[in-house]
Amino acid sequence: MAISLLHRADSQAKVSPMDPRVLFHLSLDRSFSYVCADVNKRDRFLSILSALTDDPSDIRYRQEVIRDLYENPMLSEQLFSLFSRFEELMVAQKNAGRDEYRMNATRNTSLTSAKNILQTQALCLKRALLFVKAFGELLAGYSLRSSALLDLLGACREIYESPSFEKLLLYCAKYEKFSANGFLDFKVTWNEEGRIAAYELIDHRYIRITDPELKKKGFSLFKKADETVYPCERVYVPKGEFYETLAVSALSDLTSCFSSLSEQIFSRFAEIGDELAFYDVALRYVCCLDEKQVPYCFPTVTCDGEFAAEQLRDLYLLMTKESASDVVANDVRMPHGAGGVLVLGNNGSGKTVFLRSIGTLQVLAQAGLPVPCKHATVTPCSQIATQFSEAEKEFCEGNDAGRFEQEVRELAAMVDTLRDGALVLLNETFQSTAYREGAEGLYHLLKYFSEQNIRWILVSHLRDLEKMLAPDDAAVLHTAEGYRICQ
Amino acid sequence: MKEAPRLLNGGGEIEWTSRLFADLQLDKLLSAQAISVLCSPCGAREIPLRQEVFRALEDPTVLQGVNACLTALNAAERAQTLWREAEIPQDRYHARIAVLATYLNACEQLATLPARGVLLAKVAACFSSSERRELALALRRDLQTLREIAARMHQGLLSFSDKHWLTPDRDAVSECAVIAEAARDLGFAVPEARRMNTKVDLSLSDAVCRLYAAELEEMDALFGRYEHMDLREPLAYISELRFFLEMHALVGRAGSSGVSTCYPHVAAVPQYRAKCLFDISLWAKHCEHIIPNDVDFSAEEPLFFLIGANGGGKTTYLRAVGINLVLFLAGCPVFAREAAIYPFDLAASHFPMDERFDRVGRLDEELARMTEILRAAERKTAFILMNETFSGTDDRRGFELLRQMAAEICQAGHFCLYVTHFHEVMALEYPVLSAEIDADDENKRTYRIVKSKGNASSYAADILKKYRLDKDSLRVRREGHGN
Repeated sequence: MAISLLHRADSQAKVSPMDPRVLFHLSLDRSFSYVCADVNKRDRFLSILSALTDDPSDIRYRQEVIRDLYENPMLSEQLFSLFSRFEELMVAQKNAGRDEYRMNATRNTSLTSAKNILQTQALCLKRALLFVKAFGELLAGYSLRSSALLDLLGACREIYESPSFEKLLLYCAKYEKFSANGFLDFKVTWNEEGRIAAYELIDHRYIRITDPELKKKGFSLFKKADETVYPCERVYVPKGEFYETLAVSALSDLTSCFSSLSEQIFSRFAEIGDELAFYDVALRYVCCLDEKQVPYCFPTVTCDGEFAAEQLRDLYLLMTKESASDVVANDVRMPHGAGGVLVLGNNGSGKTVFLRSIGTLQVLAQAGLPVPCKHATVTPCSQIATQFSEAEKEFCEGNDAGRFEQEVRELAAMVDTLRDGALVLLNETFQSTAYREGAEGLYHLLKYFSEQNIRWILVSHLRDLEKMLAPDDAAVLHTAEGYRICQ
Repeated sequence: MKEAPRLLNGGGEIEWTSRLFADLQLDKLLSAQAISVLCSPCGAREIPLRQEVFRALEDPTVLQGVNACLTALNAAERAQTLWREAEIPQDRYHARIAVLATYLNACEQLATLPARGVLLAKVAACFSSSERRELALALRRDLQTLREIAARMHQGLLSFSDKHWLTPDRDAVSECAVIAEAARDLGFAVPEARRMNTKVDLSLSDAVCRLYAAELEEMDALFGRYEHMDLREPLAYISELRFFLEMHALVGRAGSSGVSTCYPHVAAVPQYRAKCLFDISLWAKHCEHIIPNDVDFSAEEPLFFLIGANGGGKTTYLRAVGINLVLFLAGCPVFAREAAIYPFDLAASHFPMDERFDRVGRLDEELARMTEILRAAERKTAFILMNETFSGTDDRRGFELLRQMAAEICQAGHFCLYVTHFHEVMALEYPVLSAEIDADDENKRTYRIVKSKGNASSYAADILKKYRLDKDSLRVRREGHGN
């Protein structure tokens, strides 16, 4: 089974991947571009961010890894470097695998090519095995607390501490230097029809023959009386491809053994590379917060529906400003019974930033990352969805709808996929129509969300909603001077 | 040894022309092998015996036994072909073992055929006779020895260096197997080595034969015991069993399509009576909804004319009569609810042919064919199926020829179904069938064949209306064009 640094083996996560627009709406792509300039690494990080987990144990599992790596900077550096080379080997093996595939598919490969492919695959397996040993020995040199890294160490040890590990290495070494010019020995098995059913490479030590021609020439004079005579017959190999084709097939079987083993090792550790890229960016993010002296914490993960944050700052603003003091911090608490939060306020009063900071907190917390606030308690949600008002889509075939209809269409698509326990972030939804009609439409939708146990946060100008919603339906917040949000 | 009895006996004197099977479209529905059996009517005595076999096949255990038998026979035939074609000594030895093994298996399967009906019982009895049982016992013993010898030779080690050697295997373990074991210890698996089926090269075969010369000598001695035996004897059942199974499969298809089947009574006097007779050739056109019709030919009314609209099912009716007659004459079940049929000596068809007569005209060609049929039917009781015969000339001459032919057929004591467009037949003394719209069909698009004096123009209005050429449709068209 593949080893993972993100999910425990018995993870209960049941979260659907987020719509890529969520990260876009929350400006997480932009925020992390300040953290990590390497586009590939950042993309891998964001893709893991999109695949949320709602299993609190998984979240704590990640938090522990970040703590271990943060406290042992040398370990993280060496681990990242080792896995990066391991990934390079994976790519090399994959390319060699193409040659092997060609050999099996075309069936007209020469013995020399088959030998070369065998050597390459033997070398790949040897290197893959040595990498496993290197991972283990590196991890064993540190005092670790995270169960993920300890599990990885255990998995590596299980392989390299077995006597069969050395045996495999010996075979790899043997075929890494394999030459088809010396002895080539095979075991032939015939089936009931007298056809060749198997043709396998064997070690030369199994071959015991007494050459009758040597005996004829008088060498038998020196033979000891009790010497065993091994029966054998000369094979007069004619010109043609018969024996070469069989030999290629036998070498190809051995090549498949090596390549299959390499692939299994790679697949067992395949996820680790991507996952370490995630932790690499996570560590850079923590360093960035440290540099800007932003108060941050690992949120407390609970399952009782609580959502609270003290001195929450918006990540994107933090990344674009010099220091934490340039960004206003707000407290937020979602009451226990309330299905949603309605945020009302004037233009430019910080409503959208507030919404974004809550969404960011939820995403980062569920990814196991620290969040930019003093204290936080988060309940993982099954899904995060956003609907931010957008400009009218350019005319294209099939899109004959106006802005309002576009919104309704998007919301309808979203509603089709929302599940119990989801969180919906709505930014100025339905303001592209008459406010009363928009408010009424939205009211029924928000009621529907609450009834379906879907949490919602709406930032809006539609003040009629405040009158429509009963106090139990939602908490209503207002913006105040200085980008403050008040109850 | 007593000669093995056949499953398909009798008849064979008269063979239907292949033209008949093409006219009836049976060549599109049945294999050439089945048609070759249908070509030889089996005679009044054999029909009930074959019907017994078909009845027995309705029992799933009998069907299973017959299928198992056919599988064994096919394997025996394949083994014999491989043996004949084996060019390399090593192949020949193995193929010969397979020939004996499959022969033994085929004989055992034939011996265990369910003894249901005279024909199957005779075969089973023959192959379970004490003489054959003893032979089987000896063969089984020898096969065991042959297999043991072959097992001693089934593996070898090949070594290639400056000289190339073949030596017996002494428990050599392949490199893949060693690696697989180590991999398993680490929790990994390696793919199974690919199974090959490669023909052995002559040089390797020679080396094997030299290495295992004593073993092969032993084999030759055992093979010698069966040199003079006719190992092909049971293979004759292959085509016979295939025929029964193919026809049985048609009966199965009938069951799932709502088509009735029955075993007709073999009538002692010339007649052809059937209720709900189906034309199964429509299956070849993927038509599953087949309208059945009744048939009632007797010595009093041996000839019927059949008239009606185009698309009214006249040819279908003709084929239904012909197909089921041919099936009955070969001892097969027929596709009808019930039937009583006389085992006619000859069935012949006269259908229009493609117009590619290089030397003679169409009418001359039709006349020549008709003469040929009547000559073949001389001194026999024949059933002749005629489809639009003599339509290749003007009305007057065509009708006159039709009248003369009908008289000649009746005078010779033959039976005939004659499809024609000549509505003047209504005035003749012969009975006439016509295609009438089925009153039970709400869509009024299916026809039934009924004994009638016919109505030449009753269907024309429907056809005209369908193509919007009837009076009302033409008025609407005119109004549509503003005229």
